[in-house]
This record gives sequence, C-alpha cells and structure tokens, in this order.
Amino acid sequence: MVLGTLLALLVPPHPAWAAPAPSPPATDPARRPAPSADPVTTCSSIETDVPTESDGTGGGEQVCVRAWRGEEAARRSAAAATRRTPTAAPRPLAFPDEPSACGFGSPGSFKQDPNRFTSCSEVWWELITSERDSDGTVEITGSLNLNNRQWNLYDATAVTWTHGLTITVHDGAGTLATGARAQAVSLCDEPGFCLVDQVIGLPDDMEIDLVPGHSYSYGWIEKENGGAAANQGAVVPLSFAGARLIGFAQDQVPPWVFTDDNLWGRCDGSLPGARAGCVNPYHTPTFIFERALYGAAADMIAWAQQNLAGAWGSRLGGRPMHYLYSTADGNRNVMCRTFVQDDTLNAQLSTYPPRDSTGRPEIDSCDEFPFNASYESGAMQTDVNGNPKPHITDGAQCAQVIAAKSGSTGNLALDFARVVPLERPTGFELCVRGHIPYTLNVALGRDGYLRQIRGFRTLDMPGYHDPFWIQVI
Amino acid sequence: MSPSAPHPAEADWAWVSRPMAVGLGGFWTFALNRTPAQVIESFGMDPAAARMMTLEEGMAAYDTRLDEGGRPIPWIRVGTHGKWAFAFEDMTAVGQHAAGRLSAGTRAAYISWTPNGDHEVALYEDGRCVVAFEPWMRWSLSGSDPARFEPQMQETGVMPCPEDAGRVHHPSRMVLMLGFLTRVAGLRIPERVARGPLLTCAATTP
Repeated sequence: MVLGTLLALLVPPHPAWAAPAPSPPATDPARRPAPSADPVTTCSSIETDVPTESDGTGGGEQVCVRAWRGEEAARRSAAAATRRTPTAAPRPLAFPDEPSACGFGSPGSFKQDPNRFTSCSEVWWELITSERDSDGTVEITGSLNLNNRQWNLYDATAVTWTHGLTITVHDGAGTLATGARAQAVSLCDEPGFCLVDQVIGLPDDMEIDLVPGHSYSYGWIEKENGGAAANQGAVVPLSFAGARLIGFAQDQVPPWVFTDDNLWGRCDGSLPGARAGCVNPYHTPTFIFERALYGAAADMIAWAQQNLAGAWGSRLGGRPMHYLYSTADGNRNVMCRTFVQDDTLNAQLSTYPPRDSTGRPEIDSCDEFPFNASYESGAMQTDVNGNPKPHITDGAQCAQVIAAKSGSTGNLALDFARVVPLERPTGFELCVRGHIPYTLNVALGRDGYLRQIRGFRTLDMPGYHDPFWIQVI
Repeated sequence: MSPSAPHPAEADWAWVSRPMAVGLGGFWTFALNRTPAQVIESFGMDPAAARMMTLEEGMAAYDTRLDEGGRPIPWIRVGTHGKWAFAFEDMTAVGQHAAGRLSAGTRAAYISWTPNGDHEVALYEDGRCVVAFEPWMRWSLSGSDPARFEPQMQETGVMPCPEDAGRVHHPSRMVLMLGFLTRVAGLRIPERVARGPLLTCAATTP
C-alpha cells in the first residue's frame, strides 16, 4: 500500500473545517466540548500476508497513539521532570516564545484560557508499536513519550494570529528508541476557515526526526478565512484548532497520525465602528474601572457590588454581566426620566472646569448600575437567556446614592471619588441610581465601557452573549 | 402624527440606525459655513496633515493608537455637505470644546452618544451654548436659552419623554437628536457622504 493512500485513510476530514458550524457555539466555557481525561487511543497497522491461526487474518505491525490530559498528564509531567532537560533545536529569531500565561509544564499550573487573547493546549502523548505474530500473540515492541504545547495569540484588531507548537520528546524504547520520523502541519493548512499566511518555525513540509531528549518548535502566522474581515457582521468560530503530526513509516513502525486540536478562538467583524479581530471567547474578561479616572461613577459600581445582593459583575459572590446592544435607550428612559438634579451638588460642581469652551458648567447627572447596556439592567424584563426577571418600572425604585465631595484638588475624579447612599438601602434593590457629575458619568460610558467592549470584542448577537466581570480599582 | 406614519427624522437619518452604520459610541460636531481646515484647527490638529481616506483606511491608520494611559488618541473624519462642515469622532469627545469655538459668528452643534445610553445634543450660536440636553430627560436641559426651542423639541419627539416609550416603536434617540438639528438648523448629512472617503486627521502622539 502506498504511503499516500494510507495517510488518506488515516486522516479523516477535520470537524473544524469540514463545514460551517450549524449553530454558533455559546461562549460559556462550561458549554465547550471538554477534552477527555481518559487516554484517547488511535491505532493504525500494516497487515502481513501470513494468515493467523485464530482468525485467518494476517499478523502484522501496529502503532498506536495515546494522549492524556488531566491527572494522568500530571503524573507524566512529574515523571518527565525528573529526567534530563530536553535540548531545544535552533529556532528562527522571529519565533515567539511559549506564553508564560499558559502555565505550561504541569496540569496544576496550566491554563487553557488564561486571557482573552490566548488559547493554550498541553497534552502528553505516547507512541506505542506492537507486533502480532501468526498465532495472534501481540507483543509491545517500542514506545516514545512526547509532550505538545500549543498556543494561539489573538489580536483584537486583526484577523491574523500567531500559532505556536513545541514538541518535546522524552523517552524512547525498542523500535522507537531513537525516535520517530514525522512532519507537523497546522490544521489551518487544510481547507476551512483559516489559512497559514506565514511559517515562522520549522517548515511544514520538512520531515524531521523526533529524537528523545530534544524539543522542536513550530510556528505559523495564520489568518481567518471565513469572512469576518470582509463581511461586516460576520462571526467565525475557530473550534478544534491546532496541529496534526504525520508519522512516516520506518522499520517495524507503520505510519501514524496524531491530531492535537484543543485550541479555540473566534474572529468577527461585528462591532460597529471597529475593525475585525479575534479573541478567545472562552475567557471571561474583567472590565476595569478606575476611580482615578471616573471617580464617583466608578465608586457607584463598587458600592452596588458591595451593598446590594445582586453584586453584579463581582467575582466575589456575584455573577458575570452580559453586554446588551439594542435596548439601552429604553432602559435609560426607565432609569432616569424621573431623576431630579441635586442643587447642592450642582453648586459644588459649579467651581470645577466647565464642560465646554463657552463655560457651560459641570452638572449633576443621572447614572445607573447595572449598565443600561447590559442584560442585568434593573429595567430589563428578561435576562440574557430570555427568561423573565424581576425589574423596576422607575429608577426611583433603585437604591439612591450621590457623589460626595471629599477633596479640593480641582480634579473632578479625585474630589468626587466616592458615593454615599441617600437613604438606607434594603440590600435587595435591583439597581442603583446615582447623582454623578456629568463628565465622570459619560467618561465611564465612553472611555471605560465602550473601550473595553471593543477591546475584548464583547458580542451581543444570537448565539454570542459574551459575559464579563467588573472590577473597580 | 399618526402612530403608523414614519417619523420625519427617519427620512433623513434612518441610516444611522442600521446595523454597523455607526460606532457604539461617538461624537459628531457640526459647524455652519466653516471650512474643513477651520474644523480641523478647532480640534487642535494640523490641516496640512489631513489625508483623504475611507473609513476603513482611517481605522487602519488611527483606530488602535492609545496614549500612555491606554486611552484612544483622538482622530477625526472631516467633510462638508451643503453649508455644513462636520467632524466625526469615534471614542473621544474633543468636539465638546471645538463646537463653541466653531460657533463664533455662526452656528455649531454636536451630538454625543455612548453604548450605555448617555446621549446629548447641543446647539451653539456665536460662542454661546443656546441649548443642550439628553433626549427625553428634561432634567438635563441647560444652555443660555433652553426654552427657545421647546416647540421644535416637542414636534420632533426629542422632549419630553413619550409616555409609551418602551411599549411602542420610537426612533432611536440618536435619530431624534439629529432630527432635532435638522428641524432647527437644516442640518442633513447623507449616508453616502458620511460613510464615504473624508479628510482624516489625528492628534499628534504625546
């Protein structure tokens, strides 16, 4: 049998690239297909012409690939750590280092989704050769232990990304004592939603010997090929991304294939006014709002997280929030139409820099949390899943706070850095409404919220309701 | 107006409500009988540095530039239509100070919006802010003569807040703000002009 035919049989169409996903994946990490903790074994064999006594089929040579993640991977990681340090093959200068954020080396430190722009994969795997003789007896003839580290580094404003792969070869025995001959290809080399734009590590078409005690670095600049850049509004999931190792036949070792496909991403051109870009949607980002920039507008968020049962967006007892694209106008109307400015606050604000070049004074304004542009808004009648939720019909039903002047530096954010409640809250209000200096209020909505919606490519579309946390510093 | 009749503002401005037509937040400044160079100067930028660019080219050149604090560096797209000059900002609000300067001896205006619903429209005459407000929020009215345009506010639906808001369709508050400026100042910017190639300029990097 010729090698090409054998490889064609060994390599099925990859699920990520075979056809567009029928329904986009949710971005909830719990809903992503989890890799199996049990070893996954795939085998290929070359039959001989000699019939066996037991079943009439021929004897032959077999090679199996087994891959581990989780606890068994931890055991293998510890075992490998006691052995010698592998020698890295020389790498091109442009090749990126393994991201420290991935925590490679141990399942205890490993993070699959360390941040919004990184997807990581680490797997321990083993090649095992065996021989079945004519009487059906199977004998293990060799083994090779390897470790793969893979990562994709995305960019919020580009539909290209860096894909890295490090293969480390540990112990070899028997038929594989000196290693195995193979080539590694990115799954973006195959027809689908991405393309390899540039090779920055070992060439894809280079056959190399995976020798025990050595490591090998591959790298690719890849780009989305599904329309996110070209078509406004397009979303392209990158599921089961990674690399494929194609092993070549050698003495007593049949050809083999190992598909390492646990990288994830998403490219889109769906944010109005923003360039297309890509992220790891399974990392829930944390939106940061600084008191130094937004003063009382930021403190009002912290106050709600600490004093109201909803604790929206707080990692400490709360739940993530979800950006809402379409109905912020309506929520704003419910929250603020009955608002009345506070004369005392207006008088305090009148000494601060005017809002424009004509001297229009700084004023009290209506601010609210959870954001109007979030499914958690107190005015929203349904939650992110479309289920009815408790809601208010007037912002007066929210807890009420006001910015408190605590300094005289002339800097609005510093002098109005805190809020105080106007009345004692029950703690079960569905929202907070605040008297906040206009400039701080709008700055948080524009500089703060908008910048982070765009920066983390936070989507609100059918099938994509991205969660986010909020931290006030 | 009949409940089923299209809102007058939608005839001129419905395009801003279409998906992807405008950014999630923005600041648009308008000035009557001003040149693009005057507009650019009012933003503290150099007209000689401006280049004609498509929106995509402008975003590629300037959209990812941040200052040392990680905040966007202002950049604008500037053009004219009829007697009006305009400048479009995406994530910054330099126009809040430029509008007053541009109105000296003439009229200027701005609209501002954020994804969180913090909207504002302002009209300037000869260096004074005559009226500024958030649509539907009477408490927000300010300016030297906020009552002057009360009839037009009511006529265009930008004030007061409709009782049936949230229950029946109303144009977006961005459309209402622009419709108000069309009614009181004759301002119109067609989509083909707004989204076409425009003079593009950025603040210098600090």
